[in-house]
Amino acid sequence: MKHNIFKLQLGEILFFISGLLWLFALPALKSEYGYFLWVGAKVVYFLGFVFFFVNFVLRYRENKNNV
Amino acid sequence: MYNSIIEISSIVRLFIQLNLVVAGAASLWCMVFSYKGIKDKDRGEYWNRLALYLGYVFIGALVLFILSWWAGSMFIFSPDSLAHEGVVHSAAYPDQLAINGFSANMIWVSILSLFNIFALILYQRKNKSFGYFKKRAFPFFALNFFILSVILSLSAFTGGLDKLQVALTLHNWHSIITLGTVICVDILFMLTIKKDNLKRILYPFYPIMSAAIWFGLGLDFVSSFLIIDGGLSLTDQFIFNQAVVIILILNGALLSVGINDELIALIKPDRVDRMDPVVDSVVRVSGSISIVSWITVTVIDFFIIPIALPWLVVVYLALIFMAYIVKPFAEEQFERLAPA
Repeated sequence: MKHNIFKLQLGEILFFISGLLWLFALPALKSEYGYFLWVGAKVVYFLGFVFFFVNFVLRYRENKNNV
Repeated sequence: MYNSIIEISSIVRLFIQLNLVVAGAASLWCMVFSYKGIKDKDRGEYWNRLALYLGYVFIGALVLFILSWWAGSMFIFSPDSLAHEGVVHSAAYPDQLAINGFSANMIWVSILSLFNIFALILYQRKNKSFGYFKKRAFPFFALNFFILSVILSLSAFTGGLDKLQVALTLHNWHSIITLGTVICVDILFMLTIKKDNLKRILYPFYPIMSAAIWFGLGLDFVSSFLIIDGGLSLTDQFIFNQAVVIILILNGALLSVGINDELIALIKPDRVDRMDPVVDSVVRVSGSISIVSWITVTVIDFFIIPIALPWLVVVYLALIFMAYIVKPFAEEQFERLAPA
């Protein structure tokens, strides 16, 4: 059986981008640019949550009926 | 956040907080499971059984919380009125917000203690009957969840409802649906390893718990925006804490959906017997990273640790490695502890 454990959907992709932005912000937090990235990472996180939430409701219904 | 060095008062507060968070999360999910037990006519029995399993965790954490809270409140965090009567504060004087919190929570912890003593006596008198539990589980856990949420929200108290209090409330309360839920997920997983009927309802439910964790992390970000005045304090510890949060986000974003799907594949009608060894290892690594990271960000909140960044990283990695090694042993122990 082929496994694909790294399945990403839009919500998770945005969470991932948020993590990366945060990572780039970390060494530059003293500067305005770093702070902007840090705030941006959190904004992307919230956007990711919206997509994640919609997707998870759909998946939950599907899984509930399939097991 | 509260003290400048590692003090006994901080350790006691951390112990109280951890038990409060676990009891709060367990009461939340027990409440949800028992509600589903009422609504889901076909599988209500299994939902109630899950609530009972997690109920043991709830009771354990609650007892430790109540005992440590009363001990802490009497010996370390005495409200000023008691101090005036001759109770001496420790030399390492704890933060005023925490003392205010103990004072504000006195009434709530009293109600919590009395309510649970009363409920447990009744349950004992009914010979711990499962039927008795099923009928009363939802209101019991709902009331406990409400009281524990209030206690957690007031555990650092400014004395009024200002912006700082809102930030502190969000910052403290989110732990129920982040750290507490992560612990509940792990314990439920270990308790149900050999219980196919329970896994069949629990695994499809895990995405809801994942969503709660993502939501809780978002609440913490909101709280941090509310208390940022005049920029960030870029200490080694802050940078380390931020790095751990990044690891949590990347770990969850990359793996949470895949892991949930792998777990669900184990319980489908055309299921595979066991997880692929590579996938199993990935699941164990991811689980270890998750639990250690959540505990790390919580612990760090209570102390300013006088260790340089590289050493913090070494300790953190060592803890993840230890969690990875210990996990199979813990699974075995929980499997044995699981009620029939």
